[in-house]
Amino acid sequence: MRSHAGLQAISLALYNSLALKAMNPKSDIFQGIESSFMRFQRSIRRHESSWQKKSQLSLLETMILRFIVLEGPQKMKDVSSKFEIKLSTLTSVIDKFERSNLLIRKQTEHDRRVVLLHASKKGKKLFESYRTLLAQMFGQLKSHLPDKQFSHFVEAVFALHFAISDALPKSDTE
Amino acid sequence: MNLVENKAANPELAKLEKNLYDLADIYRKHQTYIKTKYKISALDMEILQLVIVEGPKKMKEIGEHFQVKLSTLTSIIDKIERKRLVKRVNSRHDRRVVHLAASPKGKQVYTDYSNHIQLIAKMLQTSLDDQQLSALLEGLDRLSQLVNADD
Repeated sequence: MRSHAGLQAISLALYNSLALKAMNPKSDIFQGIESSFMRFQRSIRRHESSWQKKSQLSLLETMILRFIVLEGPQKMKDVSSKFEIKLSTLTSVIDKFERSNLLIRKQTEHDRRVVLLHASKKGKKLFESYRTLLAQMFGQLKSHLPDKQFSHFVEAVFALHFAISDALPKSDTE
Repeated sequence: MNLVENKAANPELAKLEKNLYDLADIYRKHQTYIKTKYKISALDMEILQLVIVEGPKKMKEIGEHFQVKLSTLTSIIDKIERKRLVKRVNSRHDRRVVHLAASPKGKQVYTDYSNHIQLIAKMLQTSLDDQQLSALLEGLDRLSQLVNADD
């Protein structure tokens, strides 16, 4: 999450869309989205930078580690298809993980040609520490918002994800 | 608390975590879309957006806005200036002062990108009611504050 032009632009478009504002009574809410997203995107950049200093991992690398820790051993091909990155790019990421002892490449017992990526103890521990950091943050967030509002927020984040996804050309999402 | 216990104890927090990861992942794809279509990074687009929406800016102001060092920013601006998306212009009031402004080509690129964003905005408007939109704003703001406090 290096940069969040999209989130900023979404809010800006909502705010600046005079036609939308004229037609829709939600315009007051849209006015707040601009500043809210602008602050949020800058915070995410700071968050990634701060986490990267502690762990030496980018957000994408953290997401790959999360996928393997939570979903179990994975083939390179499945990881590359999940994150839509080239195998050559993934290979250098996995090499870095192996050098840091976060992941291990292991041949399967049934077919030694098949290699699976396993999270090491160190990898699981690192991911767990990130998850704890997030859990503390989310716990604080929950304590600041009324229960119903928190539930609405969780759903709204989901809706935002789908709106961004649906707007992408098919080749970028499949 | 291990992963399973964490999920069992706080199902809603676990859901938020998953939703934010999914958001981060789709946003990464959105950034790829910007890069593929416009041949610039998402940060380049943000800078373009800033000087179009708020008008010409000094380098120092842009650096402060994005919390980027001036040395880093200079190379970013050089790159998008070479693509003829922005131009450095002397201030009318004080010719020693240089502002960054969008070029006609830059405005055209941003207008096209805005149409894409407009589509997302309309989808969001259709799928969320007033309460959910308010919750989204409040939640994102609170989350930003917590992230900044943790930094």
